[in-house]
Amino acid sequence: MQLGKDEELELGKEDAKLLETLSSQRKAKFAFGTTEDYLKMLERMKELEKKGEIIVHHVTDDYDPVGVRTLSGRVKKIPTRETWQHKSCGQCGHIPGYISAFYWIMSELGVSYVDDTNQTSCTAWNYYGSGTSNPVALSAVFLRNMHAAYERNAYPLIHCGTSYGDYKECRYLVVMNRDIRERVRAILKKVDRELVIPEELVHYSEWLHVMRQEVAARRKFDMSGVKVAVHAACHTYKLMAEDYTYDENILGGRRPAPTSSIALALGSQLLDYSNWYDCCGFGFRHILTEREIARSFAYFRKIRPIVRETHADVLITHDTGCVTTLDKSQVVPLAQGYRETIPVISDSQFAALAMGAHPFIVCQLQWHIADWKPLLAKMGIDWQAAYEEYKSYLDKVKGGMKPAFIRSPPRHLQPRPHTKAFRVDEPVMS
Amino acid sequence: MDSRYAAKLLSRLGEDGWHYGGLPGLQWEAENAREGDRKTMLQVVEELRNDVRFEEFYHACINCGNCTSMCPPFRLVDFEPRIVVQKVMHSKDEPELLYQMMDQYIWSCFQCYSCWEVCPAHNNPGGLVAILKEIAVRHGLQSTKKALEPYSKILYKIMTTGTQITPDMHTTIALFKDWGPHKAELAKDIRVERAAVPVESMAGVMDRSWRVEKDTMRELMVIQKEAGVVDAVSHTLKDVADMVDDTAKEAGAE
Amino acid sequence: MKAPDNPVLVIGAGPAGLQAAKDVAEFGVPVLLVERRKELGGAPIRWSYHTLAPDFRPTEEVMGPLIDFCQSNKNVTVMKGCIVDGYSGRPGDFHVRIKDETTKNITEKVVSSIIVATGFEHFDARVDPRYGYGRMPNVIGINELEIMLKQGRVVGHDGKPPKRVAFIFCVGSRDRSTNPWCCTVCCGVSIKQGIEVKQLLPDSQVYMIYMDIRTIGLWEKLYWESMEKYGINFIRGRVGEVYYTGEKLLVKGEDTLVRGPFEVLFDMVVLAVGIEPGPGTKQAAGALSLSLNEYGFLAPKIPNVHFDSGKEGIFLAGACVAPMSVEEALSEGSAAAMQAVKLGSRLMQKVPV
Repeated sequence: MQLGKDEELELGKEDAKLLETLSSQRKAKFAFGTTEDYLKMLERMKELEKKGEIIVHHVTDDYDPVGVRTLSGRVKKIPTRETWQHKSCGQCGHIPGYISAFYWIMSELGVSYVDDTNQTSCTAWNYYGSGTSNPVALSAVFLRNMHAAYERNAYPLIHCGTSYGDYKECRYLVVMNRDIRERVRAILKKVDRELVIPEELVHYSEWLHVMRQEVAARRKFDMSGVKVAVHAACHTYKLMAEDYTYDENILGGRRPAPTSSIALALGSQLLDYSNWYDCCGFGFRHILTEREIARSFAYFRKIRPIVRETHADVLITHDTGCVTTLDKSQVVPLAQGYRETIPVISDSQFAALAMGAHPFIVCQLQWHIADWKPLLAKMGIDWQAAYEEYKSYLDKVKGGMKPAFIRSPPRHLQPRPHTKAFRVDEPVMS
Repeated sequence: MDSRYAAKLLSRLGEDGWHYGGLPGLQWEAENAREGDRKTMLQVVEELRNDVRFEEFYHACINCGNCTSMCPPFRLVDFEPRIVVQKVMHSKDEPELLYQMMDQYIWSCFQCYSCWEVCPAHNNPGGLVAILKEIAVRHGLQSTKKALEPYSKILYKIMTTGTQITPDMHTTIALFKDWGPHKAELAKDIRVERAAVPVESMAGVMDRSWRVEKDTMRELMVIQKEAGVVDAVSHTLKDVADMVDDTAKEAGAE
Repeated sequence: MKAPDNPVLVIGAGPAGLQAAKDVAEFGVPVLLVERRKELGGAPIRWSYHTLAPDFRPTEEVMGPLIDFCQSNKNVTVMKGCIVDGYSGRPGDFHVRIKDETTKNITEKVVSSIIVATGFEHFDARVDPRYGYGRMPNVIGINELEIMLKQGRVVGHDGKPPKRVAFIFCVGSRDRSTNPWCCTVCCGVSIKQGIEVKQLLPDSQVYMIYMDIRTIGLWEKLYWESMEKYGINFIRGRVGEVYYTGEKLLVKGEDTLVRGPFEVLFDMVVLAVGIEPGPGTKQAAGALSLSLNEYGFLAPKIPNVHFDSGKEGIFLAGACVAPMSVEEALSEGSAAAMQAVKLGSRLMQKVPV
């Protein structure tokens, strides 16, 4: 079933509107304890800020925010520039095109960002997989990273779905539970940091969502023939679901807007399938040490039904774990004679490709296993020529050439004075 | 009835007269719980119920099965979020039930939180499992060791560098062996491939996900130690905890 | 004291309200029956209920005589399309403002007592998006199936009779995200309808996907009969998602007893939508300063005694107090009528209030 076109719904406009309102209300009450609890937490955050117990990192006009509707019905501010790129351990480790494509898009759009080396991952992949952490440690890691962003006067933009989900949980605990707050504060003091809580926790897919028209305006290839299936990361929209973006105009508000919205904005065909709500099979622990389970789930519950039902050209998603699991889990089934296969890339890679980014130097598709050649051919990209270019580029790097790094346009904001300045290496526009 | 047979049957009853037969697929665990240390059992229940998240994650369960209907691992293995919540619900009076799950059962959870999203009672089975995993690690339970041992290298890396999946893992065969020939192909030239990534913080970095400052790692290790993570891990994987300790000392994280 | 001459005001002309009006009128006491809609009969008539559980009695046989009585009896004055907008005074001498919803004209009336019987609404299943109601063809509510059964023609949107039908229980019931209470009747009604579908389409397969079967009291025979005589299948579990494949409806759930996880294709999905307080109840509560309970139903003074609103001279009856069946609503109407007549008689004897 093709999404984004509502003819088949057989609903009058007025009915549809009512539906959207009702379903957003219903969903708002759907996931977390209650939406009231969640909104209470946001109120409590304001109180704590007023009392001087915490510093709130606000999404000020400096960050040029755009409002989006979340599941709770609340409007959330998405910063569009001067963002602090909170990287993902998995993406950077073995699907680097995820990040380079995203940086490339921001730099093409002339939007400044900070790529800070003073950051750790959220450590939550490990926590969910092995239980070897606890709420205090997770919250301290979270706030350490948030403080680092605050120092740089840049707004955290979280790349990883799990970091985003974990941080939402941690923020809830830190704000609502005095005991945890004080223990975290004491630990942060030991590393010379203060309790700075971001007003909004923002996943990068939400950034792509609000910037989709700008991205689409720079589209180089006709995408209308490209059929797209989307997989959304569980931790973005199931873990504290209130805070993720929904848009009544995207799929009638019945599924999260980001990622689907970029596919629609680029003019590609968005297709639905029966196991949309299923996870990818990552399982945190399973992807590392129970590969058979992760792989079987990924292939038989996602890849095969997706290919059979949609015949899509590409599966796009917005998280480390999903890209990894869905891509790599195709190897063994294909070797065993199963035929269904589909390339799996991130929404940032998809958007960058459409904008004309180099498939290998920028989008780093060579790290992806499932065959992406038919997709590139369909988009009208001469991948063979591009690959030759990449080969000679690699040779030059081998010979000692430094790659032309993707850089942020000059920043407008100065790092905050009187805080522990770590390293400042970006040029600042005066 | 043969009195020996009757005695055998009776011996299967718990102290409180209940017979814990175990669900299909849980027989081993039922056995394990019968032999379990009662003090630990009670402690596990108490730690779960005293966790700050417990009140948020657990309410009551009417056995509707909505959680399981959306549960991914249930498609492949004997794991049901409904059973998790049921056992948590009864754990106060029957700690054996909860303890039965601690060794193997909970490690099947994918932590995808599909169950949380659909529960009509607003329970969070996945969240309860996360708490139980923490408790299992703290108590160094039997199969927790088994579950975490293949994990040691990653555990050490995450605790000391803050990143875990790194390009150099492509060059070894241990992890991701089912990624096939592509992995071997990539591994051949992985250093050049990595050096050619056009992002400065990642280019050429092989043993981390990205270039992480020394001071950043030191801060992370301070947090891990202060928050009791290293201590908890030492109950299950002593050598990993020791290595982290050594590295922390070298980094000046005291 | 003019008290006995003043009519008894009944708000709402559903089963409870009509029964109350009839009983009061038969005592020779005048009744003013105010109904927000243009027709009498309440939900059973408005939604064209085919038959009533548990005895498959045609709705008209139950509701027809009540409607006819109220429309023809000289003691009953019917005001359709009207709501009660406000009141003042005291028992025996209430001054009520009645507003015509179309003309917006206000009429002032003096009444001796008030019976509130504003009924319920079916849960709007669009509010719970996982069932796809309003978005996917062939996902309907039990209220809509009832209309089809009345027409004797159960078909999907393609005009073909369904081969496999699933009833999903507790939609908008027993769920903290929507309505946490039990609607008490939808188990019985669904099973009744399942039997009727089997009578109409003997070759169809009918599945009941339930959390608990609550065929209370004598309704239990529906449950047994449906399995023994009609071969209807029961699955214990709750559906997590309905997905439209473009042809059929894929229903996903867990059979908590027998099958484990299931994903089955159906031609038609019938949602046993719950019962919730309607806007009429909220409006009446505002106009008469009555208190609502946490769920939005009218709160009696003592939960066990439905008719007592806690306000002298104002009585409650029917599904505006709690979800209930037609048979229960009729009894409640009678009970409230008795209270109103009792109060009138006491006022006439000048017994101090």
